[in-house]
Amino acid sequence: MNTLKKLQSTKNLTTAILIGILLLAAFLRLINLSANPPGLYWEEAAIGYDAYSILKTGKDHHGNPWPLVAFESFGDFKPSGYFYATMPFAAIFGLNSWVVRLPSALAGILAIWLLYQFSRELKLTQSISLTSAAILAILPWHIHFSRAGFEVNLATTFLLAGSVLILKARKKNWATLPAAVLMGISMYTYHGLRLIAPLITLTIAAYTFKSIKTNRWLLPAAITGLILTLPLLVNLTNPQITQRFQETSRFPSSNAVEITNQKRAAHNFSLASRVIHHRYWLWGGEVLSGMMDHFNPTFLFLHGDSNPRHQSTTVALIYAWLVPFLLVGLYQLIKSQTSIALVVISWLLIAAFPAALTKTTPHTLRFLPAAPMVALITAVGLHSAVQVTPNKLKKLIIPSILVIALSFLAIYLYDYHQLYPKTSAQHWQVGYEELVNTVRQLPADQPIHITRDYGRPVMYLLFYSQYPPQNVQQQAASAPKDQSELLMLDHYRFTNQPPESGYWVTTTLQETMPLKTITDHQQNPIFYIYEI
Amino acid sequence: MKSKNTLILITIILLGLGLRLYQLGSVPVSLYWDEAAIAYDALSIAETSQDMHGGSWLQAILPSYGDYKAPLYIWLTALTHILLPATPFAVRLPSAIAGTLIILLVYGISKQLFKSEAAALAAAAFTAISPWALQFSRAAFEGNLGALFTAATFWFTLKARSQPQWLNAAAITGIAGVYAYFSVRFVVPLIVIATIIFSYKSINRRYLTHLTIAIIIFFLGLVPLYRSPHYQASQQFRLSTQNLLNTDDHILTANHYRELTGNSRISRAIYHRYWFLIERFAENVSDHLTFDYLFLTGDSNPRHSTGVTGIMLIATAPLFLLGLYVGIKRFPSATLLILTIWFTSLIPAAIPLETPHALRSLNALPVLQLILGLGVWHLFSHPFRFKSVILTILSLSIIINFIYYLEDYYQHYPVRSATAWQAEYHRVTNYLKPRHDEYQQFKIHNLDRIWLYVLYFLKIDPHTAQSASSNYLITQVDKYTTESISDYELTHYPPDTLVVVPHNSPALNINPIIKDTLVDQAGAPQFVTIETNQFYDQ
Repeated sequence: MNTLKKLQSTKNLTTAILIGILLLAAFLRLINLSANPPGLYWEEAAIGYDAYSILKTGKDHHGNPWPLVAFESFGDFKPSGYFYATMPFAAIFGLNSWVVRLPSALAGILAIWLLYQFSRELKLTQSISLTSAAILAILPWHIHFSRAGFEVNLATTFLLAGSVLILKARKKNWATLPAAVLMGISMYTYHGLRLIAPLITLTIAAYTFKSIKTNRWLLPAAITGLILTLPLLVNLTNPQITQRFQETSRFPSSNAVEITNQKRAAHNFSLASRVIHHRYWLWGGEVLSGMMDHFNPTFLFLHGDSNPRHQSTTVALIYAWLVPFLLVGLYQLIKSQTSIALVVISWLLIAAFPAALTKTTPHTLRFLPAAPMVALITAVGLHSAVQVTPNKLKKLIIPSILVIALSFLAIYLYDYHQLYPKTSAQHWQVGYEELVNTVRQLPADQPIHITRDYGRPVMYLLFYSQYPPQNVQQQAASAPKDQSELLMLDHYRFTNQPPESGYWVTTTLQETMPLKTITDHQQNPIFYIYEI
Repeated sequence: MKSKNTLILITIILLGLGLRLYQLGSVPVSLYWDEAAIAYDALSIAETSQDMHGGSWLQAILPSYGDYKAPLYIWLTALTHILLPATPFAVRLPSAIAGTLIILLVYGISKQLFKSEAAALAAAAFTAISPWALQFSRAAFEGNLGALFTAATFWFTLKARSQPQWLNAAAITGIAGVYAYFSVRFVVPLIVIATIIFSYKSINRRYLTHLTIAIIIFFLGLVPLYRSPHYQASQQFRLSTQNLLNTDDHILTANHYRELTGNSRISRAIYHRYWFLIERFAENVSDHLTFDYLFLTGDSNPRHSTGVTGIMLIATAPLFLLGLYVGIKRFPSATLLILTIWFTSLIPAAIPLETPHALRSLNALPVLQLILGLGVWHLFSHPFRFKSVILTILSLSIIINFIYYLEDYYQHYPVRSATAWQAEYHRVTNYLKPRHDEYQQFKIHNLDRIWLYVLYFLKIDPHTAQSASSNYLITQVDKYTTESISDYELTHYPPDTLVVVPHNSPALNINPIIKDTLVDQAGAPQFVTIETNQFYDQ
């Protein structure tokens, strides 16, 4: 009876801690969501507007009804998942910047709970599971991507949910079916998941191999999974899928072919030389190198990647204080939990694989699906560090870790909320909102030319003016386009050329006085509006 | 059993020696200018007991071409020049021998740390075939000699755990290391301190006595260095390379961020320049730990790496991870010690800005081979499923990987790296050599340090060179002058002069008659020669 009571009270304590962690996660992810990141990136604007367009008319702004695999958008064919996730929120709250970010923020909070479940399913202790949830909650990498309309963050949460369900299915076979559905959805949410999700499904399935043989839901789930991937397979050679790969692939810019040809020539193209100096070897090396770029300490702990949208100004993906615990955790897992270690390490490598096929490595965004595993490993490391601490010091170690963790969190918050909005303003297209509000006041009978220097102006016009979707759809068929980006809308032209008479929005200062200057928070000019 | 192991060790060392000596004089294709400078100083000392500038051979710092070199490598090269003809082979031989001795030391260190014959033999074998070791053992790199003595010091300090008198030997090899490669003076004390902490159990009175004597020997050994008349100048020369302490990027970054965040007390603490300095140092250290550097491409300087392999062969990557794991699990304190030594060896490489740097961090070489050795030991001494299959695949892939590396090193690397090794300077001197008696004078356009090649490859009498030296330059000697040549000089040289200028020299604007064009391996023109008689005949 006593033990039962004790068990009950531990359970209550665990629940309380878990709720506390989730509240902290929610606070970190939701506070000031509409104003930091300081502006809406064009991908966010495009997602938001097309979600709005589908909601109002059942068609995207190009007039395509209910796209399944991908939205045409700027011709980059964005996976459809995030658009549909945004739709219900747009229906409730209308179209504005935090609504576009809400699916990602909520997914980020949910991921914390899912990681706890994942860890529990792997039979890791209650304290390790809670710690891993806590670390993911305060991990700068995960917070950062939960705070903007990043498809990869939503996809990662689906991936994690699917993984938890595959593990659950060992006891509750029916869970196999929703697992297959979630894994399928994740493949429609971010490009990289089209490789990551199937590979991780296989990895975790292999981990649960013993129970698979008796799983009665395996066949229905497999069929469901197949049906879900069918549209992707059918469109495999269609621009909806290939466009993205062609744009980002590392192979066209590789000099492997030249190098191997030179070396072959030195041997007069003998058979042996054609085998030894085959471009596949070099390509293999490049992909391997691209994968391993993601495990470079400078990338993970000091700088992140070179894209200011992908991490805060001076805090990288993972706090430097976690480094020793990450190493200890990895060691501890390999040593005493070899099969879990295999799952976790495979997960990390798989997460780096799609990014390695692209030109820009390392890549904070494409590698995000690895973040939950980083938190898990670190938690194992922290746990064993506390365990090996001599008893005399045990009372000290937990408070000291808490103090360190909170200090680093405070520094991160200062950096992210004080410095980051200023250093990253132009990368988040700060200025467009004010520009749209300004040009809408100008007389509509005059042509208005808006510069394309700052990227995709049409989407901001549509988004911030909540432009009626039917009107765009009508004009989209005949309007001039660059790829699929509209260059004309009503009396607006999107070009760097000034009109013969009318209004001109440009980024370069002209000789005459501008009608109005649009600036960022530090009063640096962004746009000049001239009357011509 | 014991004799079998000895036989294996001898085989490994012979293999290592063979790999270091084969075509030593011709691959890398030419002497780099540091090698040429060492070569001529050595020749000069061998023949006259004085360096090329006429200074005594017995100096703690030899001025060389104004870069103030450590003397030990030059002395050893003087020895090879007494015994052998003056060729690139003789210049590189001391490094090749040092590299071979490192194999033996790695064996000894491994035995001391892990007490396993198999781990030690494997570590030695990996040293023998290490692309990192081979790269620096196959050219006159003072750093390789320094690494030998650093390894020896480490070994002696380990041996001193049972026989403290070895500390004195450690002091002597430590000093030798410093005079082989100056930056060793920062690394060696740290390595010795770490090793002594590691061997705290054996510290007793006798140990402390020997330690005191050893410290005194070491510091006495450093006196000539610090009292050398060239010491100040050499320090200035060394610190003139861009490094973390003489650049101010971190201060600019800190100031910029402080300003953006309102320069409050909090922002000044969070964006303090020291944080950014620490960050940049950590970044430079981390550059030496990337997968690319360790296993794929290595140092980007073509003299420091062939570019087709990292400092370890990619096929050894699994063994390396296994070795690390086994080390931490089975020999935690010894592994912690070698990891500390690895980190210590990275410090001199992490302060200058060009990172990663395979030469400045060469003292870490034994550490990586020790770890690989542990990996092999674990595989051989533990039963596991599919053992023979896995061992076969692993050995085969390492062998194939090594052959691939060797094929590139001998077949393709010489072509690719010719410019980095100054092959074109060598080509000029090869051209001039048989023509010595055909002309009264030779004028050579003064490309960076080409005069060193003239001195060495045209076998200029050291006495003549010594008397021609001024400001550590020897540009006018025998019939040869290296100077800047424009069209004015070209037309005002006396008759019977042969002029050598780069093929794209502005002096050629006057369209002189070209005597010969010197081309590189690919047939692209590099230099042209001009006889001055054409300006007098008319």
